[in-house]
Amino acid sequence: MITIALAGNPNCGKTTLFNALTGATAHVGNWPGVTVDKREGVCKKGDKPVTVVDLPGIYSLSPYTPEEVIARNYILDSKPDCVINIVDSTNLERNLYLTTQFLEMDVPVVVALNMTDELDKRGDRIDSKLLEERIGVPVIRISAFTGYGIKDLINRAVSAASRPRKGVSVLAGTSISDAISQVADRMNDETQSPVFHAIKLLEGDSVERSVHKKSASYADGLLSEFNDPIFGNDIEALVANARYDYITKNFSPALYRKEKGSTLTVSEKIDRVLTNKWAGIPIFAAILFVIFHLTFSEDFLFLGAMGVLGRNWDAKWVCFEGSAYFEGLFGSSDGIMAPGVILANLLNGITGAIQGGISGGLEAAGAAEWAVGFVGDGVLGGLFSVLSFLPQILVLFLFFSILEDSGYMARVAFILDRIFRRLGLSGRAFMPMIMGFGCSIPAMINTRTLADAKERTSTVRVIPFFSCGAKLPILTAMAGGMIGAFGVGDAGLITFLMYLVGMIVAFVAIVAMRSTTLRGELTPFIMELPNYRMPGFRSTMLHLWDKCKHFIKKAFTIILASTIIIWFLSHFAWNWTFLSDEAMDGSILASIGMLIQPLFTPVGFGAQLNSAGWVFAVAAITGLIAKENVIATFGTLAASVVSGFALDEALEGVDAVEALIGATGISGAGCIAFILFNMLTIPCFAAVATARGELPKGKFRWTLLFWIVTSYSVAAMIYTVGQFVWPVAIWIAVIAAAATAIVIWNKKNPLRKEIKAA
Amino acid sequence: MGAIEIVIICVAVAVVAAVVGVMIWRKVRGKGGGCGCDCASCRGCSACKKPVKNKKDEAKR
Repeated sequence: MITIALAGNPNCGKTTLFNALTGATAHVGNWPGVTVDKREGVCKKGDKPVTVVDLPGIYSLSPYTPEEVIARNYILDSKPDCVINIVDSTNLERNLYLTTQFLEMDVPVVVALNMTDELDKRGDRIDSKLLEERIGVPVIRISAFTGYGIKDLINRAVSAASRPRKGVSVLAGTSISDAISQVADRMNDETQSPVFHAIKLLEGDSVERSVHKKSASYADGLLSEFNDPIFGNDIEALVANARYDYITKNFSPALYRKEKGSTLTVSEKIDRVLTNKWAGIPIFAAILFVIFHLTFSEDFLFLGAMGVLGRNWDAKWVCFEGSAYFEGLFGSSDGIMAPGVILANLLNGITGAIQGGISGGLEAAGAAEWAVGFVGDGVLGGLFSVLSFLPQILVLFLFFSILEDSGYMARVAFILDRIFRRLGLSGRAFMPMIMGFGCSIPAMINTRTLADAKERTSTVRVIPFFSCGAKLPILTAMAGGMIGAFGVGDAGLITFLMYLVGMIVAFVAIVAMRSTTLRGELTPFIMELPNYRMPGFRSTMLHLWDKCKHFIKKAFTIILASTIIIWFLSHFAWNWTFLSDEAMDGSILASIGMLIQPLFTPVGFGAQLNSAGWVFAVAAITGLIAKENVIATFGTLAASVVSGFALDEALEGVDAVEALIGATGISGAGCIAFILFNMLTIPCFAAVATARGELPKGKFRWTLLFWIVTSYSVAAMIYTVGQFVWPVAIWIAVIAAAATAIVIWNKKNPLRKEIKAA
Repeated sequence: MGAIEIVIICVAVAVVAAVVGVMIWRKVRGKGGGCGCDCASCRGCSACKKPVKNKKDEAKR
């Protein structure tokens, strides 16, 4: 099968084209650097099937970044039959810089002019026939977003793949062209793409020099006598300048720009507000708050708190008062539910009805009491506890997806760069952190775009502090349970604050690491800001479907198996005798929970709780497998543990947590500490495995210790201060001592002085 | 123990065995994420440091 590689600048639409060609659902984002590794798929859109390889975005074929190394090595070593060079039509000249380098390789090249729909909207035009004539390879107009021109592109690429092509350089006629020819002639028998290798050798490319040592010495000999009147012997600068000169003289005439009345584009006008030096960060914080409010609040727009609703608003038809499963669907006496909560309530009602129906059916069929309890309260209770949060997860990620696809997230990285540099990171580190809100695993992989190893290590370590989708049920259920149990606060506000605390802890940890064990110089942050775009319906739905599919799959595999094991361990004693709910304190799980429970005393969910308190200790441990397990554990055990609670209704999610808070006697401060401990501690198995792969040698064990120490310290601080107030003085003293130690350490550190001087 | 209870026990054991078995199999064979995560965003890339049995497996990947 023919293999076609997709290559081009970052954010030019390679992955969108890959998805359109192969039907894949790879992650697409409107910011540079989403793809960090190559991926393969099969395209059946043309006359015959072809293998398509999506390469990470690159600006050149020099080995400056990991992405450039991956793309270059793939094209040179794996030798695809054809390279489709995707070019952003709205940014033609800069994108063609990479094209001039592909032209130097002995590989068939087809240029795809992408985003032609955006170009048309601007009123600009590219004469693709003229461009094809000048470049000397096929040039096809496409729009990966709408699908325009894709079939033609793949057929032209297949046709080009059947005709071998020799590399040609646009540097002919420049002062370096003779040297290029001489080195290329010498390398002709040694390697394929001699023109490309010759130019790279003359540029002083480290990879080329190590592979072609003899030719490198020959090139050095030629360069010792070389002296350009403008660039001297700075060959890299000379070559870059010559490429842009060639593009301007030969390719740019194909571009016709519409005369514009205003010098500012729409994106630039929006950026004047959103990336404003003073307003940028408050606007970002306000947007985040609105998103959390729309997803989690049980008092939409705070209408209830402001008394806008009036006395009789909570009519029966709005609140579904007295309904077995749908009570409070749209609101309660406190206020109207936010859209995310309404959807969650709806799903809760449906799952509650299913749970009640199955339990009732088993009872009617004469099943034993333990079997009814196992299926109804144990397995379904645990499973539905987790599933009930799916609507809120989807609503939250719908908003995040819109922010990402619109191009706003790239701006946030830009506005945060100023703060990040003070913390010791570049703004580039913000993108993997934001990805961490979805899942820590791709976020950790995305840190490969960070050039500095120490910056990468510190970023990988704090990524789990940006609560992923799996931790969302913990936050939401605990917040909802606290409101029910203590009658204070707003679920949206509590969830937002918990996310905020996670971010603050991440930033403080970065400062501490970058000032002590992971000191290092800062790499400059250069990122091309993409144009604002209207998020596409298909790509947004693909994001959500991906999230939904993953969540449901996990619920019906790992979570389902976990609930079965948890129920089994909680209803059998060490001597394998079955235990009733009332005797559960003698179970295997309870004895393990009671054994480890004292460890959590300083963080508020240990020995100070009553006899059922071991449930919190067990939930914290099961959460290490998958974070959803924390709430699944509550859902599985709630009905059995909580005696005297109104058991005529299903105990899922928020209800299960509320019941457990009442039954165990955990305090509000203990609840907050429990949330933070689970948010900040060792992430799930999968994320730990990824961290192990991404971290440099020797850093993994320290990272595990870092997660344990951070989560324990923060949870202990929040609990002790929240519970007794007076320990605040002790914690201030500890923090002040740590800060003083870091300052003294830094004063002795010459590296810091060098950075300051620079 | 009646038929319902036996069916429930069999299904529960089968579910646990299947999930644990697949996790172990994925870990050994290096399918999906290699780490057994089956993460939606996982692209089966080199980050997972998948264990491989022999050079044939390596070549296949």
